[in-house]
Amino acid sequence: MASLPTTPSGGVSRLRNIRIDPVILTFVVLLLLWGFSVYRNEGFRTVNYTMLTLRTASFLAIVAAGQTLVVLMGGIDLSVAAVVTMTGVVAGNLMTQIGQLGGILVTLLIAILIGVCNGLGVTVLRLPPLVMTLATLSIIQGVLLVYNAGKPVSGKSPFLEFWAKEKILGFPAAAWVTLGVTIVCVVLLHFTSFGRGIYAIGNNPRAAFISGVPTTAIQIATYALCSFFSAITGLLILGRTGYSSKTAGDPYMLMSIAAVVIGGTSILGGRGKVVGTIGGALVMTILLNLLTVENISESVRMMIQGGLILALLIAYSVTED
Amino acid sequence: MTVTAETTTGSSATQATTPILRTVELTKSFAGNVVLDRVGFEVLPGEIHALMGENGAGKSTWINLVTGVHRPDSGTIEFDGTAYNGLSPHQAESIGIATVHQELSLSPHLTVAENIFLGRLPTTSLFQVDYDRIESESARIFADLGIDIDPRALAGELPLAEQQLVEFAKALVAEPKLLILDEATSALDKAQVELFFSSLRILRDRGVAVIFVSHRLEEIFAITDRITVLKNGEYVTTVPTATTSTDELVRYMVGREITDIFPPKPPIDELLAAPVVLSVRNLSSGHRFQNVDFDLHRGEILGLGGLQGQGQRDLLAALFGLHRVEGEVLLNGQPAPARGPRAAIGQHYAFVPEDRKTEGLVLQLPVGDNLALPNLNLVSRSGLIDRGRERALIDSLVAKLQIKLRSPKQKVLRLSGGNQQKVAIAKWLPQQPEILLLSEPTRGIDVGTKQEIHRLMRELTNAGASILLISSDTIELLGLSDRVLVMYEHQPVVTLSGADVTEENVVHASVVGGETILDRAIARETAQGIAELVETAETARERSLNPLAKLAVFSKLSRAWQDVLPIYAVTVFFIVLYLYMNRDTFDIDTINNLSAWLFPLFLATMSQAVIMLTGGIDLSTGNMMSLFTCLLATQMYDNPLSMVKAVVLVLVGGALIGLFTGAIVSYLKLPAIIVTLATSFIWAGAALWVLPSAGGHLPRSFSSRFIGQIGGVVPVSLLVLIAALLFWRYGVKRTPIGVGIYAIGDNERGAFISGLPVRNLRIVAYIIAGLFAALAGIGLSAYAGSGDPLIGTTYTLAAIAAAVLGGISFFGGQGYLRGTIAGVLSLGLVTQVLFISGLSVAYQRVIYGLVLIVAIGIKTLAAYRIEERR
Repeated sequence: MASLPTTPSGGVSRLRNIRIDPVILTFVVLLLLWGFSVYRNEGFRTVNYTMLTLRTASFLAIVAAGQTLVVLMGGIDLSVAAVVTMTGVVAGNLMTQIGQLGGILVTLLIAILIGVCNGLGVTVLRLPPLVMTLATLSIIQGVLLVYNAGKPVSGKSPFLEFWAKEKILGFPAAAWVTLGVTIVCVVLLHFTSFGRGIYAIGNNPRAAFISGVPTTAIQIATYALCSFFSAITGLLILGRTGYSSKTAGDPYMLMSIAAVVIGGTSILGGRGKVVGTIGGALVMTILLNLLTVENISESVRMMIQGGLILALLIAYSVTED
Repeated sequence: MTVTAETTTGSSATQATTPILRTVELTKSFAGNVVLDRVGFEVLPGEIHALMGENGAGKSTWINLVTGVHRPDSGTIEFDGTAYNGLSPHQAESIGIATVHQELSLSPHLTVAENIFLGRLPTTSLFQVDYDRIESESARIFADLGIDIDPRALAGELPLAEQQLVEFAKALVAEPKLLILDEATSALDKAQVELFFSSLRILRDRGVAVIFVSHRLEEIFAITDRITVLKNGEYVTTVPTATTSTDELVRYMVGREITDIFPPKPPIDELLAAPVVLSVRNLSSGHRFQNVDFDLHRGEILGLGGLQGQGQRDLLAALFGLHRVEGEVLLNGQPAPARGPRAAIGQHYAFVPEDRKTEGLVLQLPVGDNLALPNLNLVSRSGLIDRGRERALIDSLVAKLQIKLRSPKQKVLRLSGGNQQKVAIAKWLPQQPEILLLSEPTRGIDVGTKQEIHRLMRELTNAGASILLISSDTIELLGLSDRVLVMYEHQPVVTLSGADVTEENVVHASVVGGETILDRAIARETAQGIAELVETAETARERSLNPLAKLAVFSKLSRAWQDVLPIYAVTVFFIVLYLYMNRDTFDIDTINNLSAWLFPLFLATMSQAVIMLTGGIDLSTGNMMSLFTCLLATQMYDNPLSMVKAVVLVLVGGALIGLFTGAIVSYLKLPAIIVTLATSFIWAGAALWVLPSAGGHLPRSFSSRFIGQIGGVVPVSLLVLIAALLFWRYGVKRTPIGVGIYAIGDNERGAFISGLPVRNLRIVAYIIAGLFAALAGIGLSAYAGSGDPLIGTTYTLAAIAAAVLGGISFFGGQGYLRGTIAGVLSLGLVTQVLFISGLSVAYQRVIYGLVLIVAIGIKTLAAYRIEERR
């Protein structure tokens, strides 16, 4: 009796097993892109320009680092855009009323509370993370419009200005902040039970729960941390421009997700590294600079960004087994 | 070895002797384990044929091969004179094999009639689903069965037993030659079983062959003509039911060769004299298990026996705090109710769930991370993990259990089944568990590892731990357990101890139930009142789910209107408020204006609603609308031909965008939410590219036509809206396509089993949504009188909020577009009221956000509560 062929397996998936660490891939792409931009344009070869790129990338990298934590946990945070904007508006206002330090601290506290709300919505109300953070995004935007009627607020702060504009040991102060944030994330992710919990929840929340991981607390804390990092970027933007605008945070929603995806973190959670995201933020920044210099309009830039994320998502889903 | 069935047949299979189904040497193995070994027997037309065997005897595998769920490794299936090397589910159905599975495949929010005919819905000449026909035919089937089920009721609101009967009716509609019933009576009570049986007899007399699988032996004796027994994946015998006794059957089922050697058990007297560690009294958890009593002694292995699915697994999970329970749990004599895994771990429980891939392990993480996960507290110093200590812990566990791996950094996924299982057990050992809850600890692993795990279990109990063990391998259960508690129909029936722990006793109790059950059955027959009491309680519960049903006035309304009534009440309130605020200036223009102003939100919401019905969400609706306004404002000139061209262009564009998004979502299986987040930026960029800033040259005549009135009375925008709604209702919703869209959002797997083209239906839904979004864009540009690359932004969220407010479920398959009308009116009027009363319109964003959180939050919480209480 002829035996029937069994379903094909093995062969193809074995090939896929030989995979390069996506983080390394990110940095290879970064190097190539940087090389290309330097080759195309003389202005890109100066130290000044490189430092400017580092600073611009830092603003994105800090938000994206927070986004990475949330995505690793299987969530997503769309409200980062509103938190960045909120920070500028609220800190700008408060600093004139209760002083620099007080204004900054209160603003950071508000940001953390927003993150806690996101976490509560996701865990206690069991809302899909995207819906919950979309809702908070809308609410914050609405409240800000009412609070401030959308007018720019000037908020001079020498302290914030220093971190946003000055250099330490020849590197932008903002880059040092990014370094600090990165170290904090790496330590949290790889040397604490909190970080182990994030990876476990992102891969399999049920198994994590059964293994005794405090899933609710970790999710709330992670959303809070993401909001906190977004607020740092909001403060840095305020320091750079000296005034707050109601659209300051808008680009960060998609850009932070793009940096995470380019950095090799799975959008479905559980796999990835913060270091990859930092590379992803640099890739995004250099790419946008390049497109700007090449006179590519904002419209095409947006299409390229959206298309890039879509292409990466598709590439990811096709290679996954 | 070829085994053929005996040709002697049961009482009523007299008219035909050619078998309808004959399997010859069917063989199937999974991962190297032979689960079905050259099984062959015959099923005759016009007989009811029972298939019996212990857990793992091969019943399910045999059924899966015959119904096309799996393909055999070798052997043939001869059906109705044709030989097949293997079947597909669709093929099996088309040649006349129908199945009623144990798990239900109904779409809960479709009607009973729609469910019965799903996949073969008849249509009228206008492509409308022929509801008259499916409802009358469903009613006829139920009348034949002698049961009273309303074909128009929603399937999900019927009691479980009636849902099972609907599944049966669904199988009958296929007019099968062979009907396979896999535990199809498990939810039925005695009276319903009788009705069910009488219709089975009618089917049999018509010449249909029935294969009947049930864990209730009494049912098998009551209805079947012949019984085939499988054991250990092999065919044992086929006997006529009439001349066979229970004891004889049990003898056929048992008697497996004991090849495994088990570690020695301690003397039972000594064990029972040891202190009681865990004491469970009258423990129940909804429908999961009831009235469980037992004592677990120190050093004891207590096995939970019985056929699969009698509540054993839920009992272990409940002890670990995963289900709510009623009753008493005493730990070392102290009340210790289960509060959750963390608390349970603190009480020195360890839980190895039977499904290591989804619950026991985090497969994608390294072995080391998995082993350390419950033990991070042991290897941390001032909050930071000490990598050295962690590594030492991991190494010691790997060494102790001899886990074979290349490196602790290897993903668990890459280990063999046996080594995975070792990891699942080893990770608990550093917590020094006193009570181990082990569910199927050796399923699907090689013999060598099996024995290692057996030895480990005894080592643990000898050291003072106690084990609650579930194993569907009866021999293993017997070989390991000091005592065995057999469960039947979610209740314990007998506790066997010492020399009574024999295969014969366990199997007997598993298939016959204990005396308790027999007593209960007698009690049920004599006191019919109890059943009626339960029945009333059930209906009361159903009623309470839908409070409006209590009011007679409302109960006359159709179900769909009952659902949307609350939001309509809210809407009426806002309409009155709005009219009051506008009382001085109100005239026909106000209505016209309102209609044109609300039109884009209406259509955007309809677009969103269609996607949400499939279980997805579209974050790109607003930006698509912006793009369409820009296209119109650049492509349209002041002549009718150009207007038609531009409108057609936009509609085709909408359909293409829908096709694009739908294809990515359904063929690449990416979450709609992420895909549309990315595409939303592409459409936003495209809008800016087409028209960099608000303006363009949209002809005035187009605007004034669209926002004008016909005959000075009827607003054009209102007419287009009504046309769109009519298109949805008669062009989509009441056609098989519409029913299909609801079905895939409701129960995708069920829709697939029913033979629906799930992926293409989803794409069609996206195309329809794209068309609605295009219409929304047309209305928006007409109202604004221009194109604007940013104008649509707020519509995405507003549309989701309005759809949710209008009763469209965020989880798919549920809701009516007539509800979204009210949702849009409410949200739109709120904005108007804010505007008129001088408050900032920005509050509308806050309202959208709150509506999302509250409306979806309430629904998910309610769904979760119901699930918990079951």
